[in-house]
Amino acid sequence: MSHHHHSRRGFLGHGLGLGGAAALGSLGLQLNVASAAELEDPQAPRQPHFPAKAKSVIWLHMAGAPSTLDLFDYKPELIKLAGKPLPDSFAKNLKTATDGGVGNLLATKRTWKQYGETGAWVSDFLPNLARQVDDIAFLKGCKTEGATHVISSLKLHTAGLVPGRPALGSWVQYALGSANPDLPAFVVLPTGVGAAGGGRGAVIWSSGFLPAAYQGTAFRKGDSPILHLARPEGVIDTEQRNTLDLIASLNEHGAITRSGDTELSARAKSYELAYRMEKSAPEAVDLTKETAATRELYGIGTKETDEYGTALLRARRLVERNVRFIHVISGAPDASVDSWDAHNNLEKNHGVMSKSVDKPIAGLLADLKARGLLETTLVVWTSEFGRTPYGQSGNGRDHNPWGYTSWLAGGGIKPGSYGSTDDIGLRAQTGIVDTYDLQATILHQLGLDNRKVTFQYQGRQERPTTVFGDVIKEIVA
Amino acid sequence: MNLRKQTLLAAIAAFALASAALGEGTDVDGDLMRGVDDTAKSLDSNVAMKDDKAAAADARALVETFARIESHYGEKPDTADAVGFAHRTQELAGQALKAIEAKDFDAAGEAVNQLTRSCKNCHEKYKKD
Repeated sequence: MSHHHHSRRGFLGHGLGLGGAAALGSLGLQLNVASAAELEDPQAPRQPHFPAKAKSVIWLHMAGAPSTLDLFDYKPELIKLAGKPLPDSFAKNLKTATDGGVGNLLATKRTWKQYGETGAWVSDFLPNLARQVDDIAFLKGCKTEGATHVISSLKLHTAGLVPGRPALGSWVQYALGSANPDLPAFVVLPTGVGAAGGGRGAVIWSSGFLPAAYQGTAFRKGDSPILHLARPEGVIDTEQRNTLDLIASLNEHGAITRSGDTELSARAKSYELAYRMEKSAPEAVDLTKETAATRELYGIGTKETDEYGTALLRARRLVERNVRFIHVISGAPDASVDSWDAHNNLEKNHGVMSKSVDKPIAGLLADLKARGLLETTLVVWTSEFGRTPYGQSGNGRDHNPWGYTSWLAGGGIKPGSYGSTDDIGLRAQTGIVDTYDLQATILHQLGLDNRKVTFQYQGRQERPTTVFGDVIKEIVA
Repeated sequence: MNLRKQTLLAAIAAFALASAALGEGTDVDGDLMRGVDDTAKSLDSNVAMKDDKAAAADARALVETFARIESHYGEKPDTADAVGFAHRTQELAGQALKAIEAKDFDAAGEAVNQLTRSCKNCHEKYKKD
């Protein structure tokens, strides 16, 4: 067995390097951060373009589009104008498709206060997060394209308006490899019931035209986070190990005459990664090792916050294990609402949704900070778009791609507020940040130049942010 | 010639024909701008791959198209900044072309980078929401 083991390691360690590189070249791959020999092992760690400020990203995707006008973007003018039709001065060239017609301006019903030294406005929907504002950089002039969840969510996650492009997490994994050989570098933590709101499915964590090894790995709820990961009942460890050793030996033998077969190499590596993950993945999400105080900090054990808090505590544990990109997707905590998608009854919807994420996110930021991890962990809070200042269905708001708030914390980001919307919160007005710029900034904090991460596909040199994307220098510490 | 280039050339040809037939009333329409968008992406890719022939063809197409766009907006009232955007973008395409011809792909890449920014800046004002 030791002979096989040694032999297998030799194979896995040195693999098919040059032959694999030649094969990749013939396939038209042009590599930059990843060299061809390294891509042959998708997990191999790779150097960034320049020193990174962040080692990991936790991307909090608020699926369904919260109304940042009711969370972060306080607009006294909107309160003054409430009940009146949308003024022409704001609506010039605006193409709306609101079901049931554009309603009159709708004021927020929340109580607002400024918090912290930065004086950031936060509504009483988010009382816990309000206490963390001094660690947050609010981007108040965000804008995007499209007005449907699926299209805008694709743009947010893949920089494309149609399926087929890789998610940002896939690009990160492609560019930097994995910092932990026992876990995937791009993990997805979907939460909630149902899939309402659109733009939540696997297409937003797909590797697109990048090799499949770079796709996000969705963790399930419960003790066994990856489907079919556990060893089948009736098979003992020695038996499985012997089987894998035999397969590796046969693959090694086969590779002698197939030195350019990257699929064979990748398959062989995947057996070993899966074997290691049988232990590493359940351990990574085993929250029984956390103290009661930590669990409470995240809202675990309380019905409204239990699931999202569990996901965020898992995210912190994955950061501790050097997972590079953790994508947490919000969902409804119960059947009373669908998602953040409040076309009607916004007060009820956002009451439920805010409650489910407020304490867990505040807990995550506090916990990361207390453990010294916030400095190197970039937390991103965003959505496919925001919601309109005008009403829909009397008490809801429609989709707003023209102006909304996102925020970043940690990972070398300077806290404060950047950009603004107009007086009613309809359109981004200053400090305009498109999704490409957000993506470029995240890559920058990871030590990557968005214009230098490239992959050739169908004869074209593709980049994570297409031809666009400027780093938001104003928020980089 | 790939499909994207065919699309832009077809759009330019259609634009030229329409301009000739209809005179100053011709619109710079979505098809033309989508062609421009795709050619800018193709130019960016060809510069990155240091394919000087393909990149130069893309840059020339953009110079020509932006000259037409400048002319189009020049005939309309209250479009001074659109004329400015088109002129600036045409200049940048020209700078990219010169750099490509000199095989200075770093300079060409920077010109393309500025060109796509210029496109975005113009869209902020003129692309209808």
